Amino acid sequence: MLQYKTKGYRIFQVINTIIMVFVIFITLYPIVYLVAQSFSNEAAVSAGEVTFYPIGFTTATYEYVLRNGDFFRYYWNTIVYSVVRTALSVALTALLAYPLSKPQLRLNKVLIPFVVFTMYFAGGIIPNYILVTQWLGLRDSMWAVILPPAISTFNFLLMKSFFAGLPEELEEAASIDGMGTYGIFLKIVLPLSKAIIATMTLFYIVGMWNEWFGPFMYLDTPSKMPVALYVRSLVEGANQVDPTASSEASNVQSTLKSATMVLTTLPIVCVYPFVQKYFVQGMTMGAVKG
Amino acid sequence: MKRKIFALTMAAVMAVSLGACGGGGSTSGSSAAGYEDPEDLSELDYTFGEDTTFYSEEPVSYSLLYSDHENYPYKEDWRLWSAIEEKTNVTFDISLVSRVDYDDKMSVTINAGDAPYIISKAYDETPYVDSGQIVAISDWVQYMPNYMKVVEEWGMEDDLKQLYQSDGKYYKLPGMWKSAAGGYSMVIRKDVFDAAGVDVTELEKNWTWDDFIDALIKVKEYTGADYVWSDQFQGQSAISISAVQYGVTAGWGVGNGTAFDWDNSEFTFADSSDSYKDFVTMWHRMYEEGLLDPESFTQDNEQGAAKFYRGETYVLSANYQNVADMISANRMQDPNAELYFVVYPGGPKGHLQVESSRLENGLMISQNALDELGVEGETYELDDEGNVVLNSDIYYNGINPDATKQLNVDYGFGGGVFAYGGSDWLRFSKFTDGERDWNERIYANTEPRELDPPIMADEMQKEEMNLIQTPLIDYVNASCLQFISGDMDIEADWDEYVSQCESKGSTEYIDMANEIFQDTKDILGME
Repeated sequence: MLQYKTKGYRIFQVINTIIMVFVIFITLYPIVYLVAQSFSNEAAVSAGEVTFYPIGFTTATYEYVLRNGDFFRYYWNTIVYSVVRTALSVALTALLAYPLSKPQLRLNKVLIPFVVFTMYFAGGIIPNYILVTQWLGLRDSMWAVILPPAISTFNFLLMKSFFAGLPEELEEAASIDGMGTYGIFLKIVLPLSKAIIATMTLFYIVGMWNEWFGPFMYLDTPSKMPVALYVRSLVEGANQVDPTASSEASNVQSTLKSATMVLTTLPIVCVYPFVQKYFVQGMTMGAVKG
Repeated sequence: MKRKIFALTMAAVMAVSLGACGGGGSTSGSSAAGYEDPEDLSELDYTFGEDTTFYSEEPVSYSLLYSDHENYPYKEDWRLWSAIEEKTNVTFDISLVSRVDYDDKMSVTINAGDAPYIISKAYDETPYVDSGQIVAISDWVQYMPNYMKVVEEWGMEDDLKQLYQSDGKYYKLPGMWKSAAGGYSMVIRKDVFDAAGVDVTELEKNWTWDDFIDALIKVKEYTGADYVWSDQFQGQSAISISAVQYGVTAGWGVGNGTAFDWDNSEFTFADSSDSYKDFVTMWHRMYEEGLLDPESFTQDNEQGAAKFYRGETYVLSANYQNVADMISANRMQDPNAELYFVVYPGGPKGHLQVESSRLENGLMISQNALDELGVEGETYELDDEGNVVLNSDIYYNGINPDATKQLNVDYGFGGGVFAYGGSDWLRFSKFTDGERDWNERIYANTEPRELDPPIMADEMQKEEMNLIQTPLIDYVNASCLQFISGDMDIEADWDEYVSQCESKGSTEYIDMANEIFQDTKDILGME
């Protein structure tokens, strides 16, 4: 252990710590600021006096948000969309990735480029809108938010390379013991893929939690909107000033914006520490280990 | 298609005739469906007419693209919806979009041919006219007696010409005010100005921007502040309202940089004229004297406002709503701060009223008490003189600051979607004393200005003009700030600026504008 006590190593450690503290600070500060704002009184916030801790501590903003029925309706919608879409997306991605991970299937040479193509080229907003609302008839339906983005090409590629890395021998052995393709997939491959499934779940759930563009395009009824759209209208509204005569400036209080953002981020922030090991694993999973 | 257009017209008739809700209840007969033949008015299953509120015998529902405002988010159980249903038997099938993304959704649905029947709150219909997806509403106004009556009584014909497209028709039903009012100016710290020996109430009666600068210099000397003005809106509002007084365009109101010369009946490119030079010289002086914080042009609105609230600066661009909000939310840190919303200064062209348009956004607008202040006896009462008095437990825009309920949040009335337009008594009944006072000062101290005629370009011409306009105006905007900040020297670089404007096509643009004007002036009824 002597080499860890050299002078050079100590200097390295000090510098390393300073850099890391700095990185942690710039990562955490926006969250600290948001929380401080949400517990402050409005006058202090609009005068720009709040920095690290609340000034004029009050929980009135949270009480207001928590009494607001609309907020919880949007919140509930987001939970429903996230759960349904994540379940569906993980299942569909696995079903697509498994067969395409088998190099011996010749059609794969044609199919994989088709799938990857969608990563680089898209039809554009209006053709998409026409496809979803008029051809699929999904206007103002929750499925319009869930189905079109159900399979992410990037996630598909991750999953495909994970499946390709599983030892072929396991599947051969099961096959010799008389197991069919679906049996192998369900009873051998999936149980071995818990890590990638957890990663996919995390990717999809975070994606859906933050999603506002799809709901904005396809949903019309307020009772179906997710919370991300609500947050967006609060936050963006303040940045939008109409120069026309009697236009109405946003007077949504900064404290309300902060409190809403804190409440909206909270579930993901709470879940993240517990699943982040899968997140890191997932990023390296497809990679070749040395 | 025919049916769709007719449904739209019917909806329009309904909305406009709501305006007659105070009038008599003369309802005339009705029976079979009249959808197929709009000419045969006697067999319609709804009633309409001058001073008659549209009423459909059969319950009808129209799809409506609704712009949701975060200050008063949409609620299904607003009294507004049930009041419309009671009065007209009409319900709405609402497509809700936050106002932040409203234009995008409007664009997508119209271009996909999937737009709701009624698109409320359209600011600029021009991009959609050539798509054929929007009804030329001017072909149908004959079925809107209450609308026509207002147009006639208030003499709106000339104002409506502002909306003419190349075919001489207009495509949106604008909100109409009997008189122009409102808009942006500056809010100042009157206590500080008074202490510095500047009597704004006297000065504002006939001040120019140069007088305003002199006043700010006194305030700076008195307070010793680094800057007396750190603006919000990236300075766009102040630049825009001052440009009017110099007969040029800038900031929010930059448009295409043209001005109409009424003496010679032609367009000129105002933003390379001598007036423009005077204009940037004035702003450069403001900058050089250390009055205006250079960050004004780049900082976020909130940062500029925060300096004003903290008492570091004493002037801020605002509209009256902002001022009402500052007072009601108690934003000023100094408890002795006295806010005063000044009459904007004049300039070489006189002391002109900036807000000269009596038209507002919108396709479907009802100028009526029903939509604006709610239901008589429920949300407001009429006093002995016939003035509308909002119930004391309801807050609206600074009226009844201690009230527990809000007209727009809890009832849905007075929102920005329907409540744009109306007579003077209605408009002023929604104002607080302070806002009414400000508008009266504006009327007393400024003179109205004439509106430039529209350039009624067709699709190809529009395309061609846009190709010139975009880089030209970008250059004008950038140069404007450079002149103000001294990066470009007003004396030394002026000729270069003018020749750059020309090489970017300012002359060509003006020639096209004048050519189009010559071709279309008959439609506008001009000589």
